[in-house]
Amino acid sequence: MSERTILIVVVLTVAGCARVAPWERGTLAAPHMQSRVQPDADRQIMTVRELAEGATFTGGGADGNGAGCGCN
Amino acid sequence: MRSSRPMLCRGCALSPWAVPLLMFGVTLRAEGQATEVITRARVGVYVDDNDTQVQRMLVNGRLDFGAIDVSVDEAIDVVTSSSIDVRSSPELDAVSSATQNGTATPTMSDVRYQTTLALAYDDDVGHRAAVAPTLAIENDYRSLGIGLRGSIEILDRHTTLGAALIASTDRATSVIDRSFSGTSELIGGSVSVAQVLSATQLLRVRYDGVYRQGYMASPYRAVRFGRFQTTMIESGAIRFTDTIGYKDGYPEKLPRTRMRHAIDTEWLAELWSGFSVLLGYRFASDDWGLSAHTLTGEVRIVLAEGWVLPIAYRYYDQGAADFWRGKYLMSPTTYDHYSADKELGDVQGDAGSVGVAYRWDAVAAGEIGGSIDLSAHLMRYVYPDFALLDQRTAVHIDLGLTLEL
Repeated sequence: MSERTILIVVVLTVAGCARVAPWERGTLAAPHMQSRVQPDADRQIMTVRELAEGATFTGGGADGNGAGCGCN
Repeated sequence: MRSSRPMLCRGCALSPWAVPLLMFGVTLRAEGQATEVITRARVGVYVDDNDTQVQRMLVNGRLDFGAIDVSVDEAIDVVTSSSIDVRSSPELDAVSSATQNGTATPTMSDVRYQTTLALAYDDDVGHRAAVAPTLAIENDYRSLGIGLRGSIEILDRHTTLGAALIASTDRATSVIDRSFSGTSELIGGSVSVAQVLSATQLLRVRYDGVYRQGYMASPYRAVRFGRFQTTMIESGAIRFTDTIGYKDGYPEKLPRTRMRHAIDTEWLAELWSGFSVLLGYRFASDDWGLSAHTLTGEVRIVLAEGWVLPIAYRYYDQGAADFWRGKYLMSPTTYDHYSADKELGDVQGDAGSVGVAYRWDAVAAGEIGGSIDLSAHLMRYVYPDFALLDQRTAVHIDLGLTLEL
């Protein structure tokens, strides 16, 4: 994907955003609208995937913790 | 790895860190210095048909002092395995208490402890930061790392920008050869954007990059060469014949550096009240030539007040590293690098999961809020070119409890 394509996608995405007032954000704050319903459970299964999949890893975002997996 | 047989749930002892922190936290809470004490406990069991079992336990204690909170997190994994890697190890007698000529199935076991301290800041108006050093210890592996992450909300809190950095230093040793030591260093990071699209839609995009240098192989894994044949003896150990060179194989030889990239996107929308959908796509690649596409679909159904039922499907498709072969047909000197790690070959994976989570809030002073969740994952991996194993099916069950005092 070229840099131009990425830029177009980003511009269209942001341009397509509606303004959402604070009192309209109840749904976005609900548990079923979070990135992970249970972040701890997701960390556990992420560890399983990191051991089973050669291309699954994190760079330290929400799932990362900075220590090696000790996969040997 | 260690040579003794596993005891039942070794490592299920309570965390040495989380329990004192919880008691300390309750004391502070009683004295009014901490506004909230949160404790979490989680247990999980992993079982697969490659004869591997993992018992997992996670204990966490967190003290909330308003904008600042401090937490300690202890994760313990108890691993027992008679997998194909164990049964094909040339050092079987040393790794396990079994013998290749005996009838006891070769088995290894190990316990991994990981402790994370975290100091986090959240001003409740869109600025967050955290620093978290981590120490992980196994019998033959040690890792010391640190993670830094932060985020800021901009554009009237419609856009969240996030960034993270990680660094670690790792040391692998061997229970077979006590003189062996392989070290590696890792540095990585991520940047992310989360965008509110509407009152019911979110979009997240994240890039992850990790660079690692040093020893990345396994001291227990050996690569056999030639058009070898395998037979399984009574104990379950794998015997190799018609190999080029040593029948016990040669130690893995991997590149000394690895740069990995991944881009991850998620779209999350509530289609109607109490019913939301998450769709995700991830592409990852590295300079070993390995690449993978991951597709994720998840529906979340609100069953009743506080109850959420997530159901998910995940597809994973991985292309092999450039140097990886199902069988290395020529002599070892022909190849610069070689590996018997099936996770570096072609892999296709399917996974389905179902769970249930319940959250309750403390509505009056002195009451305890919290959540409880249970999830079950069924995973199947196919290895089309790996000589010793064509597929693996696994189940992972996880139960968690959070209490907010």
